[in-house]
Amino acid sequence: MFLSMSTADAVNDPVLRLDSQDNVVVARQPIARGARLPSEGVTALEDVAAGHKLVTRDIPAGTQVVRGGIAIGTATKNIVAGQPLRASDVSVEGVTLPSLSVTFERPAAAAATFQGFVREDGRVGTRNFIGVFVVGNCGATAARQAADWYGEERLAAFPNVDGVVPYVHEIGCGMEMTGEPMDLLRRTISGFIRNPNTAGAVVVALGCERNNLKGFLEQEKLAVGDRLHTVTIQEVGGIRNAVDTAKAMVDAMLPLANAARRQEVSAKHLVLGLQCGAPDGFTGLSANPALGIAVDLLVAAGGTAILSETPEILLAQDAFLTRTASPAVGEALRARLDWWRDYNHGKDTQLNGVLDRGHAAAGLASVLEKSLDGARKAGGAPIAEVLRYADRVTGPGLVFMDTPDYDPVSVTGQIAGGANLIAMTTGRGTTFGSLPAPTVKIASNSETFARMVDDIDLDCGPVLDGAVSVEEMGRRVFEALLRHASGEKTKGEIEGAGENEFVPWPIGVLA
Amino acid sequence: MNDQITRANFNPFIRLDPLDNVVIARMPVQAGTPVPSESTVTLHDVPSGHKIAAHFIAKGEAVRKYNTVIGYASEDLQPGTWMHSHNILFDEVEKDYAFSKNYVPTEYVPQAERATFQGIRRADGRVGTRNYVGVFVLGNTGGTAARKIAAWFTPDRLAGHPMVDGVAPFIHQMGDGMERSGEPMALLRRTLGGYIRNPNTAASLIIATGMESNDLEDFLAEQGLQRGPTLRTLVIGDEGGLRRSIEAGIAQVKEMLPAANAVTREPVSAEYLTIGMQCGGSDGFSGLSANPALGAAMDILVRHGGTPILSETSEIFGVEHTLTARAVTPEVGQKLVDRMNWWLAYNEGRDCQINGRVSPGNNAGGLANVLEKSLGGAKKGGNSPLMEVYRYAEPVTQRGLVFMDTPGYDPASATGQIAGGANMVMFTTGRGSCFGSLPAPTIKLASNTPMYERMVSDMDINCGIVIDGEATVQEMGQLIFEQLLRHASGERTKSELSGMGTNEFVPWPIGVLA
Repeated sequence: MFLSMSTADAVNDPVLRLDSQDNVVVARQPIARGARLPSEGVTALEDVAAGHKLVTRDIPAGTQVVRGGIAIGTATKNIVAGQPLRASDVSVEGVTLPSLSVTFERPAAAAATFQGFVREDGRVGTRNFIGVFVVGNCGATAARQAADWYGEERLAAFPNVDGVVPYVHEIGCGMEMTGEPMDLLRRTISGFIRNPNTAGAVVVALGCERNNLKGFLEQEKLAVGDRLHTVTIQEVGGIRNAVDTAKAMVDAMLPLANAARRQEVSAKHLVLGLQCGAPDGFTGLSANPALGIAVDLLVAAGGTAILSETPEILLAQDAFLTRTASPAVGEALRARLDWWRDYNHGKDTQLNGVLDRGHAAAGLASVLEKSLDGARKAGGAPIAEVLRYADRVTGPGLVFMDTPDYDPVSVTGQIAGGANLIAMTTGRGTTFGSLPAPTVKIASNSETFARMVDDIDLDCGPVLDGAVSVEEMGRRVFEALLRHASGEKTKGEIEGAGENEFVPWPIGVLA
Repeated sequence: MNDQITRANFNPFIRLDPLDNVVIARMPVQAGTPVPSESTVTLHDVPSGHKIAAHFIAKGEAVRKYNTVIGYASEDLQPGTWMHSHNILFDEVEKDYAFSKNYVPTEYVPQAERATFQGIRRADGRVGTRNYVGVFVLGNTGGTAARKIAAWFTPDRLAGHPMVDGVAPFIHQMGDGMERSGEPMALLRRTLGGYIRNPNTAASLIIATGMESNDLEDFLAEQGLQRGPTLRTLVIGDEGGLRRSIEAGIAQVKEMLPAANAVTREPVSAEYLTIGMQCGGSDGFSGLSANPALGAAMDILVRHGGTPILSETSEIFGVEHTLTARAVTPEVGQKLVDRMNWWLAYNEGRDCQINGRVSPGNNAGGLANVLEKSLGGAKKGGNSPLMEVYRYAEPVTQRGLVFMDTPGYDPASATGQIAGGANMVMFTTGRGSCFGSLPAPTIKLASNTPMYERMVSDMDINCGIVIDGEATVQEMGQLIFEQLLRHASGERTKSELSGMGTNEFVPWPIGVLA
């Protein structure tokens, strides 16, 4: 379902028709009540916001709403041609997606490279950060105070160090002492410590937390050394002493971290986390397909892309279960989907069929449409591996990591797994940021890009206008990813986002 | 080894009750040390805060501390044996709730004679102990903007508004990707609403992205909040990104500063104190010194008309009967029992302390299991009658000792209490918690002198003098009450001086992510 329109059509036509079978079209710009649309033979009966859909043929109650040749739901009442399509008039009950066969034509692998930091274990970083971590929330203030000390002036003598970042979270004590909740928290923190974008780490503990420091280091096979130090607040005598001690440890690591230099490496060392943030009715038509092309290029170069956000996958599951690299992978994916069905059973979440209000306001008509659109960002490669949250990603190829849809939690899992860059498409615009692997943000439409130009990196709006093909936009996205991997700062980094989005998945109960 | 051990009359062990069969070491004690008061000799090295058998305890016999069963001997134990989680079995304990059987109405100090503090009277009649401007977020994505807006207001920049204690951000990790209705969303909203309405909050800026499940207009309507001179909102999507939102947010806060500053402190009755009580990093001493002393202080507060809030439901497991017996009505007592049963189901099958195992720190400090921890913890409740039981973050309106259902987890627990209206938090600790909170600050009480001295930059009150024999529990209670009044009147706590309180806002994450 790639858009292919001639420039002349696109510029003049206020709506986008994706398939001849469709009974809706997408408003490329706001359409006023009373506007006549000759290409569709309808008159708008109400205002239709940009990104929303206009109904072009009557849809009687109980019949399918078709977009892009696929049913995205059924009408819950009679919808008349000329009306905007409202998510509240669409039900997904009983609607299943057809098995979508995806033909993956691996693009010719160009010799794509970027400038990265080669680490001892052979992995490559796109950034060079020192991190101050906490095993539990009790260390959070000390960690933040220590990290905040390192402003631009103090780091001027260490130009190859991108910064000193605190990674604080809300758990670590008052939680289940053993089991998956603790295991997940531990592998998430250790995943960040080991991430190739982390040059050195200080871990702050209070001393009595359930996520016991010694237990954490042992379970995660971490050892104190040049690049890993620990501070226990109760042992050094309080917060102020802990902050001073942590700063001394960071000071000791700065010269080591600063010795790192970028060198040219193959794009196969890129591990890219894929995300949708605040999608709209355009995201599946422009930004996601373009990112999908970039992912295909990355996979062709031997790189790794991580697809996540399991609830979205679940709703479009047939589209994914038919593209796993082996039956074992398919089984593993199915097992995660079954787990999610239980986890969200009876809860008021999108998994049970009802779209979030924000997504409906952005022009999406159903959870199915959201999932279908989301799937496009993964390109066409088969899913090579299925991973638990924050498991180490080895790749290569397109892999799947189980995470919630919720952006900070999802990105946290991907970075813990080793992602050294994140690509996030957005429809309505988001100020989300991440560290130590920065997020490149890609807007689905030019209005959002212009409105939030300080926060968003790339504009896929020209695809909607027909000015640029999806293939060309995908190539540009890939090249931008390589530039950002090589050190070009993302808008999120320039704006200082990323220090509040470390959110390990709080699975489990408090005690 | 400490010189004092060799003095014939000095007893390294404390006996809490004549009917106890264990005594507690007030310092590390070597094996082979005579214990004349119990006519025995220690058979093992005993860490500080840990217990020994005071006389022979048969296998299966109840182990008693404060004349309350804390478990059962796993084997025959000779007098002088070191007792801990390896030989004290945790098991179900019989409960007789004795609803309201021991209820005694409070004898109030006459109004005119009540203690006072310098407080800030609010329009709704409640009184603040601090005067903060809060920057709140509906969802996690507003966090960066909130922090940067608040950080702009350094002490220099606030110098023209000396009655404003600061501009504090309250970041959390929820608000989106969560259950959109039901108790998870309701709880988050009443927690945010409670902080905005807390008497220590002078003014609030609420930041929304415009897209979160925790919708701004719904939130305001549900919580009965209206925009005005001391309540502003900002939508990042409308402002056009992070930078512009930060600028707009700083401008909005600046506009609210004059109104926030137009307050004075005046003498008010101690009855306007609502105290969130907490234990954190407990050790074997917490239940001997800091907790009973805090309980004594709170008994004083109750007689002066004030309201202590006991919480951390899983941490009174096994000793609920001590509260239900003094509940004002059986209905109030039943509410507590209902909440405990809810907790048993919520934590069933999981490695949580309600199922027996306490944290490594608690364990190292001498607490063998959750019953022993609960016994000590419940002492903070003093002896006052229990007047009401609240759900998490519900507004606390009843006077006297009340219970609010919260997790044991300190940040989540204190957050619920402050949302309910607590204007001070009092926190006992044995191992040395460094907790702090805003806008209601935390006063920290050390259970033992060595830790107090080691962590004096974080501790406010040393209850170790009780262990050292320099003050009785009642005397300590009076000292605590007096220091509470000073802190309520504006004297900074150690945690405020350390800058704590902006990372400890943790609304209870009940529910699932999506």
